[in-house]
Amino acid sequence: MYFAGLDIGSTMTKAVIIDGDERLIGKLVVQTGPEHRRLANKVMVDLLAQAGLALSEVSYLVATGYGRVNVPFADAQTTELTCHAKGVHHLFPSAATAIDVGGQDAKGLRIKGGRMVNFVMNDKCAAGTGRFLEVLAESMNLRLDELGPTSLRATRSMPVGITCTIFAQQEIVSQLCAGIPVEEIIAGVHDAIATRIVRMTRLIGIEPDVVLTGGVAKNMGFVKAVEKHLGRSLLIPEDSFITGALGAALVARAKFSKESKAGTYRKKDRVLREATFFI
Amino acid sequence: MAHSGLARARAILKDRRARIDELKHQGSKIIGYLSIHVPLEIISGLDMIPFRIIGDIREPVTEADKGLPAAFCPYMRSVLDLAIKEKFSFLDGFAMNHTCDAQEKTVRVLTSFVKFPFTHFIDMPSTVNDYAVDFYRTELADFQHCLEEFAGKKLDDDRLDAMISIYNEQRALVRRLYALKRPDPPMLSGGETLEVIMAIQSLPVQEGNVLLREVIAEVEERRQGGPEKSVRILVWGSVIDDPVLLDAIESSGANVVIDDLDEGTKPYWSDVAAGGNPLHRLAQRYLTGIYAARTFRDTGDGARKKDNFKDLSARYGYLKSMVEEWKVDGVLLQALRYCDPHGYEIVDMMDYFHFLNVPAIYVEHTYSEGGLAQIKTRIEGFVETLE
Repeated sequence: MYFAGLDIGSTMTKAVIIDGDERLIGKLVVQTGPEHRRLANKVMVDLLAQAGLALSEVSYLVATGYGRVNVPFADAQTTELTCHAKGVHHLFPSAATAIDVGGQDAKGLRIKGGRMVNFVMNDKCAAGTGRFLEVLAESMNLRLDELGPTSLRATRSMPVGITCTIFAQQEIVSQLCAGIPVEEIIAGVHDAIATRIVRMTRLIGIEPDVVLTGGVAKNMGFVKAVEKHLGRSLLIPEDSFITGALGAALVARAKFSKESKAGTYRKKDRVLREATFFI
Repeated sequence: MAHSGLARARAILKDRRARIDELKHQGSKIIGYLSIHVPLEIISGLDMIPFRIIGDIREPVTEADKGLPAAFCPYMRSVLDLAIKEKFSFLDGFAMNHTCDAQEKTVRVLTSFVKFPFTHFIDMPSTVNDYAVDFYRTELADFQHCLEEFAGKKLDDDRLDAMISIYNEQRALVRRLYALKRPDPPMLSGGETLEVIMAIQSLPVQEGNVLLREVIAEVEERRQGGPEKSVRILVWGSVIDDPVLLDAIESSGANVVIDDLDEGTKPYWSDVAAGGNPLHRLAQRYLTGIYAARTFRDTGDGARKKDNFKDLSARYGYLKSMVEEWKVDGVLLQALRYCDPHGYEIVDMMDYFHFLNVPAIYVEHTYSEGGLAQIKTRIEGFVETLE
C-alpha cells in the first residue's frame, strides 16, 4: 500500500511517496514555474518511475501548498500548515514549534499531540522569505548556495533595514559602493530575515524543540542567525525541502485509514493528463 | 419569469438599484446611508426610502487618492471612489453618522465632492450612559427636523411609532431566518443569508418584509440543509458586503451558521422598545441596543481592575449566547486592514474566547478579490485544527 503527497509551493514543487509503514519510497524536488497542472502531472510521472510504481498502486494522494487546487488527480487537499506540522512531528516527535521559510512565504506552527494547534503566516510580503535571499544573491552576483558559506566568514554583521526587500536591495547597493565587505552584508541580511521570522513566530509562543524547515534551512549562515535570535539551537531535517510533501503523504495515509474504517473510501480513477492553461 | 424567495434576493443583488430606480421614477425620494446606526424609521416615516450604500470589491480604487490617504480604511476608500465616479448621484439625500473616525472623515470629504439635495451628519457618542443617550436623542431630533424641512411635511409621534413597529417586524423576521441556521447542517448557507440581508437593505422596509416571509417559507420547506460540513463557524467583524468574501470562508470546509456583522445580525438582533417617547426609544436602541466595536461599554465601579472576565463578559457576552445557541465550533474574527475599532478589539476578544475555551482566529483583509487566496489558506488551516 502506498500514499503520496504533492506540495506545490510558490517556488518549488515537492513530491513524496511512502508505504504503509510510513517509510520513504521516493521523493522529487523541482522548480514550480507557471503551469501547475502540467507540472503536477509530470512530477507524478517522474516520481512513480523513480519508485517503480504505477499510479493505480497509490491508494490515496493529498495535494498541499498554494498550487493544491491544481492537482485534479488528488484525493484531497490539505493546507501546508497542517501538512508541515505532520511532517515535522514524524521526523522530530519532540518538536513543539516549527518554522518554515519558503521561497515566498514563512510560517510558524505550534504542534501538540502530533497535530497543528496554532499557526502564524506571512505570505503578503517577501521580506523575510527566500525571495529576499534570491534578490540579495542576484545583487551580489552569487549563487544561492554560496550565501551561507560566505556569510560565515564575516566577523560582524552590517545591519539592513527589514521593512521591504526592494528597499533593502537599494540599501545593499549603497553598502557595496561604500566598500562594506560582501560577507558582512550577507550576514546582515541573514540577521534581518531571522529577526522577522522569530518575531513572527513569537506571536504564537516558542516552545522547544524548535524545528526549521524549508529551502532556506540549507543556508547555514541563516540557520546560525535564527539560532542567535531564538537563543536556542534548531533541529533541521536532512532534507528540509520535503517536510510539507511528507506531511501530505502522512495525511493521505490517515485519511485513507479513516475513510476505510467509515466505509466511505472510494478509489479514484486517476488519469495523468497533459493539462495546460496556456494553449 | 417572476422570481420568489432566495432566487428573488439573488436577482435583486444582481441589480441593486433596479427597484429603487423604479420608485424614484414614481416620485419617491431615496436617502442613502452607510451606517446601521442611522434610525431608518425617521426616513421611512417621512415617506422616503432608505438605501444602504456599500462599496464595490471589484472596482479598482482609482480616484480615492484625491481625498483620502492610501493607508486608510479600504472600504471607505472604495466608497469615496464610487462617489467621485458618480455612482451615488441618484440619491436625493445622504444621511451620515459618526460611526467611526474613518467614516466621519470620509463622509465630510465625500460631500465636498458630491452635492446631494439633502445631507445631514448625525453626531453619535461612543459611550452608552444616560448622558450619551440624551445627547443622541437631541441629535436625532435635529435630524428629524432637517429631514422634515426637506420633505415638506411633519412626522408625528404616532407615525414614528407605526414605523418602529414595521421595522421591529423586520428584525423579528430576520431572527426567525437565523433560527433556521441552528440545525446541523443549517437550513440555509452563510452565502444565502448574506444575499437575503443585502437584498432587504436595498428595498423599502415593507417590501423587505415580504421578501423575508417568502424566503422563510421556502427554507422551511427544505427537507435538508446545505452540504454537511464538520465545522460550524461564527463570523465577526468589519464589512462583508459581497458573497465572494463569504464564499472564501464557506469553501474552506466550514458552515457560517451565525454572524455578528452589519450585513448580518447586527441591525436586527435587538428591537426598539415599546412605550414612551419614540425618539428616546430610537436613541436608546440605536446607540445602546447595538453591540458594536465603535461603542465603548464600561462595566464601571472599577470592575475591570477586579475582574477582567466580568468586563469582557459585559462587552462580548452576547457572542457567548450565539456560540451556545448555534453550537459554534470556532470563531472567525475578521477585520479590514487599518480598521481601528475592530482591530483594537482583537486582543480582548481572543482573551474572551480563550476563557470560554472556544477556538478563535483573527484574519485581516484588504477588501480586494486578489487577496482572497491567502485568507483561504488561513481559514482552511483553522478549520483543519477543528476537524
